[in-house]
Amino acid sequence: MKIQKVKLAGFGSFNRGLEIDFGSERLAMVIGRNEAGKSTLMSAIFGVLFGFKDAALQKKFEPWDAHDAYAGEVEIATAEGRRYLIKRDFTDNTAEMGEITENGYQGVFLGSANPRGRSDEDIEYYARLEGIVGFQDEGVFRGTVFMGQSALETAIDDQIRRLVSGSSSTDFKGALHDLHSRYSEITTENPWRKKSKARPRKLEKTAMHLEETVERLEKARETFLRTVGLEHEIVELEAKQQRAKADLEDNRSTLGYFERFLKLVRDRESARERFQEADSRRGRYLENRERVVAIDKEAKERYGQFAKSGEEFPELVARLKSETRELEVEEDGLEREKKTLRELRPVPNDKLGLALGALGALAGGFVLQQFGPVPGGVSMVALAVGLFFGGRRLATGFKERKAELEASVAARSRAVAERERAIEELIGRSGGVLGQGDPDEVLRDYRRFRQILDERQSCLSAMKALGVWEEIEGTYRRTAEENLRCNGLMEIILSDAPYLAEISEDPVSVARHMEELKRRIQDSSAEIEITQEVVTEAKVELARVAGQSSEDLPALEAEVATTRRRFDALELDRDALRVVIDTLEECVEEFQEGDLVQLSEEVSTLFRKITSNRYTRVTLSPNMDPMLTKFDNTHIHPDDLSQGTRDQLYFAMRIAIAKHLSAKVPLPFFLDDPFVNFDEERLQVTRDMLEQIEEHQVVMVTCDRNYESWNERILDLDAARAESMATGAGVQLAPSAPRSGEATHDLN
Amino acid sequence: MTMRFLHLSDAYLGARCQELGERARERSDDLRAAFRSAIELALDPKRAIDGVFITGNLFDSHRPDEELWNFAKGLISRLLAKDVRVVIVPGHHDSYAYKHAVWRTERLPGVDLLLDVAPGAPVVHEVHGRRLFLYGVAHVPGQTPTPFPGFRKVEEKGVHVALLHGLDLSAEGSEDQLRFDPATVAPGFDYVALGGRRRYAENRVDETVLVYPGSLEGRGLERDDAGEKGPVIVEIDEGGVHIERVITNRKQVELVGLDLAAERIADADALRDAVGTLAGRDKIVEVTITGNAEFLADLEDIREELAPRFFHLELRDESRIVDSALLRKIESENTIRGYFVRKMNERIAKLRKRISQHGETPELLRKLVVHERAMKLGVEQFIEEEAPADSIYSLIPDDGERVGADELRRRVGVGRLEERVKAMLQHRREGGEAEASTNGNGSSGLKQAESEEGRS
Repeated sequence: MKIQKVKLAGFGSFNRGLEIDFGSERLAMVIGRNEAGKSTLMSAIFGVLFGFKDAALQKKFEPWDAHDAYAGEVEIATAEGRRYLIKRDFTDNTAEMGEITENGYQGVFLGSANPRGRSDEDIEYYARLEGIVGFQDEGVFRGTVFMGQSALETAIDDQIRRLVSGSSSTDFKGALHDLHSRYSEITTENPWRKKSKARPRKLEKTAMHLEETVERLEKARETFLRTVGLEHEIVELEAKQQRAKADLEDNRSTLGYFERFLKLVRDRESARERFQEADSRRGRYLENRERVVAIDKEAKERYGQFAKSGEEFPELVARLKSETRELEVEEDGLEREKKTLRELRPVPNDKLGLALGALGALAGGFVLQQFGPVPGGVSMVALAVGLFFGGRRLATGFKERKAELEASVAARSRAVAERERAIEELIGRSGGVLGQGDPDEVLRDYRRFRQILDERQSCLSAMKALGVWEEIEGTYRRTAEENLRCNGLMEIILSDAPYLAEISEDPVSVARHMEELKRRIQDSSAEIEITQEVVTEAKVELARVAGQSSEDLPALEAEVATTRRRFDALELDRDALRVVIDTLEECVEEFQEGDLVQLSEEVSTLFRKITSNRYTRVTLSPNMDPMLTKFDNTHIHPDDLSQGTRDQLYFAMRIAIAKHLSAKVPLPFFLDDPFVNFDEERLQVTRDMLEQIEEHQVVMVTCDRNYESWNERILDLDAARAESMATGAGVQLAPSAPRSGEATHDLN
Repeated sequence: MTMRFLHLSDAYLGARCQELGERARERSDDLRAAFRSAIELALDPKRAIDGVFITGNLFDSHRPDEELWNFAKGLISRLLAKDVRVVIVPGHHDSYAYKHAVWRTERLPGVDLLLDVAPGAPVVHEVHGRRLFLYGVAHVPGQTPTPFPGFRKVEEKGVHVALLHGLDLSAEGSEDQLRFDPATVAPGFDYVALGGRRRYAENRVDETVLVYPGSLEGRGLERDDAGEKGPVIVEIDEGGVHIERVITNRKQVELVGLDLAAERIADADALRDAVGTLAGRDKIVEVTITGNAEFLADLEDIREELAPRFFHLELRDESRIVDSALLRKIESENTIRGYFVRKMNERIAKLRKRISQHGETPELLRKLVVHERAMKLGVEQFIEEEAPADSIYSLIPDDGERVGADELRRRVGVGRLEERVKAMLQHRREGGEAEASTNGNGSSGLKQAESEEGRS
């Protein structure tokens, strides 16, 4: 493509306008002093096409003095022979694009073409622009086509790398390097190279800090909650302990009542027993004493006659009784014998009668048998009766009997008298007592008398055994009082604790109650003791825990949040950088494997042409380091080339890249005095080379009028400006008329 | 007769305000000054204030240092000396719950310090012949019921005021904060003095007025720190409760969102200008830049340049570049950055597709964010933030400026690369030294060169 015409309605120092027709020459030489506006011209061309991304820059190029417009247009001829006109109004960043055909101008676009815009129009404009000039981005376009004063002074590979990277400030190497170092600023991780050790970086430091802070927060919260909890527990435990103490006191006092009550019950029982014993002892004593008195009285009143009777009295009574019985026997015999004597008569002999009767009967029997029954019966009865009476009258010893009886009566009379005398004597011996009544009765009395005397004796012994009266009486009184006192106390206790009355009757229940109370007391005591221990421990723990940390939770929470945000941002950057680095490396690799080979080919072709086949091939290393191969297959590094050849190589590479980047649009090159430090020889080589690249327009601006010799026609900016000043019109610049005479190489 | 009270909360005395960097100290002093002015306001005879309610977070910490305590105590004593009652409940920052909390260890004679951990009996005073019942709670987690069930109001004639530091049930905040439902706390009270929120808020439940006065100054850079700050004056008479805000903040916190697309900000200068319009010596401004960016700007540069015009300025970049026209231009390039943008666009498109298919899983969303960020970081490498030094543009002299040959060389950038190398070396050396000290092994050529240089 070729820049055909440039028209500025107002731009920088060209406030009154500028019109340039670059003419038909391929090499356009613009010569002018410093400040004549050469650079402004170039900026204007880029500005019209792409606009200014930088608003400050756009402002900078506003016409410096009074102006009607801030606009420009550029006419472009493409390699295919088409012509485009692109107009831009910088005041509103609108553009117009049209094709100039044989039939005249045909607009294809009118609208916003803001490099900082994102409207559909903006997007469309740049897409169309790309179709014509091969680029959408001004920076890359500029980088590709512009060679400034230092272009040839810096390392070739740097610039080349920057160009293919698409940036004028850095290349992919630098970018990767920068990204890697940014990555390693963030973290020690290194997925691309193995590193053994490294100090922690931002991410690790932040992570550590985060972890520490979270830990601190957790600990502080734990401590905080623990202290709050402990305090709460202690308060509750102490309250509980107080309640337990009150319970303990209650139960103790209840148990005390029980114990006192029980003791009292026992005391009362024993007092009663003792009283009863004393009472019965006293009773028995008194009973005995009364008996003795009664016996004494009875003995005196009823048995006084026996007062002098000795021990032989019963014997006397026995003898008297036996004498009396003997006497009676004797008297009875005497009477009977006297009566017998008086009534003594002869006595019939019945036996003989019976025996003779029997014989008569027998003899009668015999008659009977001989003479018949009637004479036999009558003879038998007459014989038996006659014989019986006759036998009975036969004689007995009456006289002897009478004499005997009279002798016996006399003996008996003597015996009676003797007995009567003996009795008299016995009565005399008993002091007359026996003589007063029936001796049996007297004896019975005597025996009774003896009995009560014995009883009296035993009463006295019993009394003696029971003790001394005073003592008995004293004991009795004491126990009676005691008994009364116990009863009184019992009543008092029962009125204090009436419930005791209910249970006092049931010893099992009492025992159970007391057991229960004792158990409760034990429990309470244990509880109090244990609670005390726990409370003391808890207080120690509280002091310890509270001493550990008193950091403010809100402050720590805020710090955690801040650190976490920082960590997240760093982590995001780390992950993003990793993606960037990996992706970029992939891109570089793809570029190196595809585009670079193509580029090498392009450069080789061009370089062969420029150097008239002195070199067969230029090989670009992955780092875009060119390596030259000569015909003899020897390799040469650019450093070993002459300065001129190196410049040629550089141009070849620039052109190849321009082609590559612009999708094969043959771009114009804009040279801003790049040869300012060249010597004659180097200039010559360069000039020759520029002749070789016939596809490309070259627009060169310089203040060095020596270059006039390079071209037949020049664009004299100084002259045009002078004219403009004179006429007051815009600057009109067109190729000068060819100078005659001087032999020049015509670049065309 | 009207009772008049000054109600303040969240003074945060002693807060270090570290988020404000070098201005932290100054800001911390502001907080003290703010409290002092609030007290002076209460002492103003024209205001005829009967009492001051301080509803929590008087201090930023539960354990302010002695000097700070004495500062606060001194000011409070001045109130007491003028027969102005002072009623305080502890807050979340100066929580009573800590074992060594200042409210437990120190004394403020004459001040009604309401330290019941659960609803208790009110403190009663007589003000202008009317009885004033004051209810308050000192929140102790685990002991104070939460949500707070409300105070046990005494059914006696007089003015009933509840002081409560906490958040209503739905508000965002720490888990350790006391929560309450205004509908349960308010009934029967004339005024509920709230604390614990930094932004002023007023609420009414039937006849009851509930007020968060907000902090006395913005404490940090959070949403609630923004805007006007100060105490409120509460007038209570038979007719009801009247609230008057008194704005006393020294500095104003502003959180500004700047949407690049909506504001038509298309370059760094425009961004700088846009941020510049927010400037103010007493302003603490955080600008969050959002929207699609058509340019890349060094925010730190902008911040540094503008910082002197602010008390404190912060710029947060949340802008996106992924769908920008800028990338579209690069996308078609045959350059390595063109490759990069194409590749990244492909990946991002894939991720978006997956998200549309599988839904917004956190993992995918995070991946997308990472990739978008990656795009920005990658493209940044290849885009000049300003017109590059070796371009023709830098040759344009500023008004009236004449350019000498040396100056020209400098502008053209001769020696720039050298400087860059030096800078990189320097950077590496610093890194290397530190690395050497940790026994790290440098393996890159550059590093070796550098260490050789170090030896020589």
